[in-house]
Parts: sequence; structure tokens; C-alpha cells
Amino acid sequence: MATEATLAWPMIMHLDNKDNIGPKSISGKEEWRRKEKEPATINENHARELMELHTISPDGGYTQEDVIELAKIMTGWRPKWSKGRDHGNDVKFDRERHEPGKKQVLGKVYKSGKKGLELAIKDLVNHPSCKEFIATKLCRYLITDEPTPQMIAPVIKAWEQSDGFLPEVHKAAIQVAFEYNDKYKKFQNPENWWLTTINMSGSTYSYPTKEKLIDSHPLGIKPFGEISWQGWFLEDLGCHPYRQKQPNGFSDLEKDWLSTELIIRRIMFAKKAFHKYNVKDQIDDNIHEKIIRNNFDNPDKILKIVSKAKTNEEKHIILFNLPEVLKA
Amino acid sequence: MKITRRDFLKGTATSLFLAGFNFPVLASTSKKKNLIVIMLRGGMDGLCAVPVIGDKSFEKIRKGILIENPMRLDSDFALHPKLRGFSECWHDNTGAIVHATSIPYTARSHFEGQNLMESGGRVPYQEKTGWLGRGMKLANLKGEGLALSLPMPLLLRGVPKNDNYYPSDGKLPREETLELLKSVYADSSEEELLDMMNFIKKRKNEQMGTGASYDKRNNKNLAMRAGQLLSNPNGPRVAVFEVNGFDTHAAQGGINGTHTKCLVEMDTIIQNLKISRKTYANSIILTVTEFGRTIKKNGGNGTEHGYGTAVFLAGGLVKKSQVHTDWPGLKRKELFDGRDLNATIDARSVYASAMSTVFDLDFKRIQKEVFFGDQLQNLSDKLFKA
Repeated sequence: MATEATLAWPMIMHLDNKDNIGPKSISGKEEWRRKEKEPATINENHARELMELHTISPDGGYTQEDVIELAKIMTGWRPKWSKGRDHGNDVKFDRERHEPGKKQVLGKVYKSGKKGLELAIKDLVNHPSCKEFIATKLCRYLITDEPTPQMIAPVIKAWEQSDGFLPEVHKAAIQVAFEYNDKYKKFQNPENWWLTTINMSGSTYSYPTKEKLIDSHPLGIKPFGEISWQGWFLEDLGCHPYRQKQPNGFSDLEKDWLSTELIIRRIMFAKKAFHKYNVKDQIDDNIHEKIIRNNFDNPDKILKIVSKAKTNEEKHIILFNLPEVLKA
Repeated sequence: MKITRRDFLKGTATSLFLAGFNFPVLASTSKKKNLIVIMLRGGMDGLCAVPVIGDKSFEKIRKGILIENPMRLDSDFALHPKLRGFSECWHDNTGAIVHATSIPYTARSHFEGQNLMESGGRVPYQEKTGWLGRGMKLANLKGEGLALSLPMPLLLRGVPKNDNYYPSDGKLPREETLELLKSVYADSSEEELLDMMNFIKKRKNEQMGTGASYDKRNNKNLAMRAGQLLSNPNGPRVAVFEVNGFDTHAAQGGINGTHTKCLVEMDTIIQNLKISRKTYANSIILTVTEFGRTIKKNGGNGTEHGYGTAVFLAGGLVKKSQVHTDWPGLKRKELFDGRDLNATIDARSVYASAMSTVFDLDFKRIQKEVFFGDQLQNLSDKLFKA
């Protein structure tokens, strides 16, 4: 997966590997470069992210020299052009742009050529820091901001036993999360909270976008109409899935989501969402009791709290902003 | 009868705001001092914003992305010509630059760098609070921080009850609903949620994002709003803005490129904070970024992650217009790692000096309790008004 992701068109394009050209490569020595004063240079961006975000993390102990060397291994990978343009989905290895010679990353030597990158990625994902980095991230996402070594250990073990087969690694992480569920309650990020509210509502409510409509949407076409609503809802809640500007994505730390403004957004969202349900559900006086009985281990206590609210709309706002729903 | 400052301000707050531009007199007598930090994410190129003049090798090496017709500041430095707001500050003697400065971080990773520019530490991800939050805690400024973004930046963490302002569409539910929710949080001892509900109830009476809220969320309007909130004697004293997108590995562009666009966004914040004269007169506005960019442009007309960069300072508490620097030079052996502008001033010295001025704290205490006793230079007298 790391290799495929690294060589996906959006990554090659937007992490600037298209501009990563070996100065000593055939292309780098071409006459026009000297004339136009456009020398071929190494672009470190993608190589740095590959180590920092996608595999071994800064704990892996790489140096600036390692970044440059890995970038050299990556020279030549660029978007593929056909019929005179870049179609935005394929990449190719351009031998003429590849920096010749051996490169050394984290003490290991790689030969020049197309295969170098795959071999380097293989070594990166098998690096001990990569296992620990990914296991910590999973536990942080599922359990607590500060995972303990005891939480991480079974996940690393599953990684080693399955040779990094991700479904097994994920299963182990979920297993650990269940074991710690009583002791650790994590304030959920907006997306998880939103999904929780949808799951709780179940089929009684005609909301959100119908599955059928989502299924019939052609792949490769930008979402429009009702399908794009979900992105906008999430934008309003503070985490539009495609709009995080920093390449390290949204925070996995609960404290980063505990903000007044974001709580306001959830309260307002719960209110808005209520009015998107079927009219018959909106006026059903028992609707919240049904939801509560279906979703809580202690329905009577929850019911007692929610019944303090007067209208169905108000019950809806309270129910979906209870500590029991905000945290899991 | 003696009228206290606070009462006087309360009485005249509205007329003061309406008076807008034409009411600069009172401003200088008020004692509520503000610190406004603009975070420039992605690595701001100090040599694009504040280029050095008359260095032939610099001009040659930057050909293609060199800013043409920069505004001359002094004999050695110029200003990017699109920074009109800051150039006004320069002309009215309230704009300064600290050049060849950086946080003490040289490993060139955005995430580590941004983490350290906010935490103020030396080891990435070690500190869970920000230097501004710790400084506010030292000055006992609870509930006086405001982030004009979402979610709460690390920079402000470390002191309780900060607020965000980043309005959304629609209206809050009625008072009773909020009250009920608050009591639920109180019953289940959810302290943090309870604190937030107290803020939310206050917000209710303020402007929500009705109408074109997308507009309200751009930095120009956020700055105008922050200016109003900070001018309120009971309002926040610290505000934090964010400008993204300085990471221009490719197509950095010259005068109209991406880097310029980001710099102009920063400039717009300064310009619009200035509309609220009272706020501006009693503030230090200060920029932070994780690192500068390489001197040399790369093959894609961009620049790589570098080291030394510049800090912008503006506001009535700035001592005078000046470029404060201990210029290291741009000859090859003068560069950091042979490729970057060196940093001769720890940017945290500027942060600590600004906090010492605004929060009326002893510099040494800030140095010790906020910046872990690291060796910092007290620049308060050089850069700011006492």
C-alpha cells in the first residue's frame, strides 16, 4: 500500500515529485536547461513526507542527507502524458530524469533505476519505527491521546505475525480498543460524532443522503447536488474530508477538537439535522425513546435527562450532545 | 469626581467604535495592552517579503522569482511592494522587522517546525502547551485568549478557557435549551464542556454568522471583528490568526505568485486590525513561522525548506520603524548548511520580549518559566515601548 500510495498520481503531482529531476541525469544535462537557465534540481518534498508521515516518522532517526538520497531514488517518477496532455491519473518512470549512481538511505545502498524506490519503501515499512509509529497512531485514534506501551504492544505483535497485513493490524487495534473501553473515553472528532448520530438514528429517520443515490453516483465525477451535502455538513462541523490544508491531516488528539466554536457547530447541526428528517418522524412523540432504547445500556437514565427537554427539536439537540454521545 | 478608566470606556464604547478612524486621541491613554500573533504556516520566505538590496549574487541566484520594484526600507533592506498595509505601518513609525531570525529548529520538517514555533520548545512534540498559553498563565490571563480559526491552536494551549471565533451559519437554539445542556454537563462533572457552555451562552448575544458567513470567516473580516473584540475593555487581550499555504516548493512566483498571495493575506490582517484604532494603538502584532526558505530556487521555480527568515512587528507598542538584524551575509560560507539564510537571533527572544512588554512580566521569569531557561536575548527596549 505504501508503494501504491507513493506512486499515486495525486501524490507525485502535489508533493512536487514532477519537479524532482536528477541534476546528473540525461535530462539534467540537456543543452536547453543551460540556455533557459532552468537547471534540474532535487525536490525533497515527497521524499521527506514519505519518511516523516507515511512510514518511519521523525523517531526513525533519518538525517537531511537521507532525505536528499531518498529524493534522488525518487527522481524520474512523474505524471504520465498521453495524447499531448496529463490526464491526471497515471504516473510513469522517466529514465532520462533519474539521477544515476548508487544512493544510500539509513545506511543501506540502493542501485540506480526504477526498482530502487520499491526496495527503499520495503525497507522503510519494515523498519521498527514504522511499526511503532502506525501502532501508536491507531491506538491514539481509537483509545486515548496518550497510548501506553501496553496498548501498542499487541498491535505491533499482530504486525510482525502477519508481516504487516493491515486488516490483521487493524483487528488487533480494535481488540485493544475494546479492552480499554471502560477505562478510557475519548472525545470524538466531528466526523466520528456525525457518524455516531446517523447510526443512532437508524432507519427510522430519512437522513442523511440515501445509500441508493450514493451508489448510483458515477466514480470519477465530482460530487454534486445532494451527494456533496455531506462534505458541507462536515465542513461546518470543522473537518471537511478534502480540505485539510496541512499534509499531516486532521488531528487525532481529542483536545484539538474540544473547542467552544466546534461545540456551537454541533449544537447548531443537531438542530438543523432534526428538520431534515421525515415530517412523520419529527412529530412522533416516541421517536427519541425508541432511539434511546435501541442505543444505550442505561436507557432509563438517559431518557430521564432527555425528557427534561420540551420539544422534539430540543430533545434532539440534547440527546446528540450528551457526554455519552460526544465521548466513546 | 474621579472617573475610572474602565467606567469611562464602558460609557463610551459605542461612540468610540462608531468614531472609527477619527478617534485616535483616547487610544494612547488606555492601559489594556494586547498581543496579536499571526501564524504563517508552511515556511515564510523572509527574503521574498523583505529582500536584501544590492547583493548581486542574491539577485542572480533568485532570478525568475525575484520581486521587482520592492519598496526601499533602509540602506540594506526593501519591502515586498504588495505589502501596502505594512508599509503604512512603516511610514507611521509602528512597523518593524526582525531579520535573519528563526526558532532554534533546523531539521526542515513542517510538522515538527510548526509544532515548535507554537510550543516554543526544542524537541518536537514534547510540549503539549504553547508558549503563548504558558505566558498567559504566568500573567494569570484566564479566558482572555481568542483564536480566529478552528480548532484551538497549540500556541494558545496551556491556559484555560480560551475562545474561538469562526462563525457558522444559523442561530443558536433558545436560552432554555442551552441552560438544560449546561446542567447536563454540570451533573456529569464534565468540567471542560461546562466551561464551554458558559462561553456559548455569552456568544448568543453576539453576532453569529447569519447572512454570508463564509465572508465572515475570511481573515479580513475576522481581523475587523477581532479588532472590535480586543478594543472592548472586558474583551480578550490575546488573539491568534492563521495564514496557510506558504509552502511553495513549486511556482512560488514573483510579484503575483502564491507566496505573494499568502503575504497579502497576512498584510490584510494587519490592515484590518488597524481599523480599530484603539486596539492597534495598544497592541503588538507579531508573526511567527516554522522556518524560512532556501536562497536558491529549485527547478520548479519554487524554494525548499530553509532556516533563517523574518518576523514582522506592528502596532502602537512597537518602538519605531526599523529592520533589527545581525545580518549574517549571503556568501556561501556564511549560509547555514551552505544553503540557507542563517539565523542570528532566536525568534523566541522576540516572542519573550513581546510578552514581557504586553503582559508586564519580568523577562527573566518568561525566559525561565515559558522557555525552559533557554539562552534568550531581552529585546524589549530595542523593539517595544515600555
